[in-house]
Amino acid sequence: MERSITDSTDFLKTRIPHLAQLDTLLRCHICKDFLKIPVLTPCGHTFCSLCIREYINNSAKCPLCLTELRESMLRSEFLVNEITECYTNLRPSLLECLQKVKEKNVVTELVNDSSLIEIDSDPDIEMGESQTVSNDDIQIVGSHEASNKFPSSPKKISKPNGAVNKKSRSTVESMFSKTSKTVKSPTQQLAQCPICQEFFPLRVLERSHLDECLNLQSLGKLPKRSKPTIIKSKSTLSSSMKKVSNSTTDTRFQSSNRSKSSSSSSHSSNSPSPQPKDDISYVSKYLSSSSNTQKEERLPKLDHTTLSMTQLRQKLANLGLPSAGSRKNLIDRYSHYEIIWNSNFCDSLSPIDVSDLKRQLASWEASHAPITGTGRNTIGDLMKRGDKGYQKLMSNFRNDKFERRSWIELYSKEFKKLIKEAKKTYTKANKRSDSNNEGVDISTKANGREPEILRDEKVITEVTSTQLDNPTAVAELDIKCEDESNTEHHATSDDELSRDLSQHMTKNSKQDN
Amino acid sequence: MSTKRISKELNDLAKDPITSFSAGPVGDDLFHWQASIMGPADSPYAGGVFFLSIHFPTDYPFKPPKISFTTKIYHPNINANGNICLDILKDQWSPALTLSKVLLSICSLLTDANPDDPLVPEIAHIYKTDRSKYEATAREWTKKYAV
Repeated sequence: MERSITDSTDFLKTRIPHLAQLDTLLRCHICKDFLKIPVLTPCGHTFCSLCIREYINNSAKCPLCLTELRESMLRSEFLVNEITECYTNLRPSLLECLQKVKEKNVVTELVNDSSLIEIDSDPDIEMGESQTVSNDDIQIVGSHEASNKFPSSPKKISKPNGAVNKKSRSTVESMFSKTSKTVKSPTQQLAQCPICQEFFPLRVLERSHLDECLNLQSLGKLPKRSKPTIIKSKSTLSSSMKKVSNSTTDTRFQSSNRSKSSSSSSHSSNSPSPQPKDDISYVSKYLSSSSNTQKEERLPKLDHTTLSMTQLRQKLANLGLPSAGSRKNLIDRYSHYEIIWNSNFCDSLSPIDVSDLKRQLASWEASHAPITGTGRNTIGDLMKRGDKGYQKLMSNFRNDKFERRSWIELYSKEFKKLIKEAKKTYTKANKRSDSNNEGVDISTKANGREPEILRDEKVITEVTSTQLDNPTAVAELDIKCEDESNTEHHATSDDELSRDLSQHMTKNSKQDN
Repeated sequence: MSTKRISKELNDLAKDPITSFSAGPVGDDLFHWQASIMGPADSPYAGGVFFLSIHFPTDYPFKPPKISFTTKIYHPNINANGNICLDILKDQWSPALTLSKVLLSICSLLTDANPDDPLVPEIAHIYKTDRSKYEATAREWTKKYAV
């Protein structure tokens, strides 16, 4: 929920307050949110495609420098798109890592020490690849967090790099300088080990590898030993060479962080933010962007003044859009559809389906229609109430990122009432299923809240799409829900039930996406 | 979008407050705010606190917010109804502007009036011809209405 209002000032209290600048730079100056399908103006400014298109619909100038700007001048910026997406994905974990530092200092210090002992003093212990890698993770975390502790107040850290180095040298020289290097520097000087003939970063070679190698040589175990180390150094190298070096190290960093902190705090399960998806490669997405061919033509602007109502209706009907409403409604509908269409098919790297566009248009119209409130419409009343939670959620509704579950939690009472009402009308129509219905109702209540939520979710999804005021539609839905709760009722244990539910949820969310 | 943008601005103001003014919504309505501006120290309005009423249009930030003084003020660009003559509130509005930027501009308008584009020609005339008289009146009004 809170994710809807993220802010660059979030970083001001972390140990790298300068990240606030990066955060600000990746935001659109119109909506003040992270850039979504960014486009570049000829004057060199970047905005969300939708925002700038909507703005120049009214006034043809750049919002930042006020130079002339027309729609045809906009160019999409795939790189910025990927950068922003990558960053927004990393942002929660980045914040988390930079904030939770103080609490975890003691723990990490301990972990850090033990990891050092393992590696340094006992190089002879049989270590698999995976183990080596996991140790590497711990080191990275350690170096980060130990250095995090150092500048406790944000104002002191004008030069975080210097701080890191100082600290690490003073504690455990070799390991820290090595790890901080793997994190910070994109390129490393390689040098060949005279003993095992393999290449290593110069520092590693000097500080630890030569000793190890000599040790191993003296024990006569050289060939076997060298392998895991090489792989390890290669992996760190390749990761730092990649353009997404930050993302890889940070996700590793985060995962190890999580595993350690899971016992002490439950923030990972509490936070509503999605886990960074490791499987998305922003680089390949960006590289493949050039081959992306446009499937759909861009929609032309309409000269509304010359068109008659019938012509307007015709235009809308040709696009498969509803042609009801006043002249102004029709014009608004067309121009918004034109904006989202062109933004989607001209600017977006991965355009969404036309049916999704129509859904967006419908939700846009629903949220932009003046809330006159018919009085009989319960949901209309809810909307009129306009408390804060509603406002927050509603803002997402307009952006098509509507959080159904929170909405349902907010209005669970009302939805239950609605379901009851719908049930009444339904039972009147079909008296045969009367007794059945009641039985189900009681059983789901006995099983706890979850099934209710699921049903509510169903209802709200459909209800919003059916314009919220069609009781028969709601009744039909209720039948669907009834069927579902019936099947769920058969699940004997609570565990099974919740598993079913989670499956449902994921299905639902997939459909939403 | 407007609600999101407005709540973001509110968030910004809460997290990073600016000393010369404060602003926030009236009750539950995010689209209706009120603000208070401290009279700038280097102006005849020093020592006064001026209240403003702010209305965000539903298509904010594509349209400028409507801002007016609710405290009486003696100024060539602010009339008796509290309307403000400021270019960025009219044709020079840009969605890249924020409420805090606008309020800062209003603050600087208090320090440096723009008598060449007046809303109240009489005050502008006095401002141009007899600056000390203008300052005295402005100080007097500030004492009377804004302290």
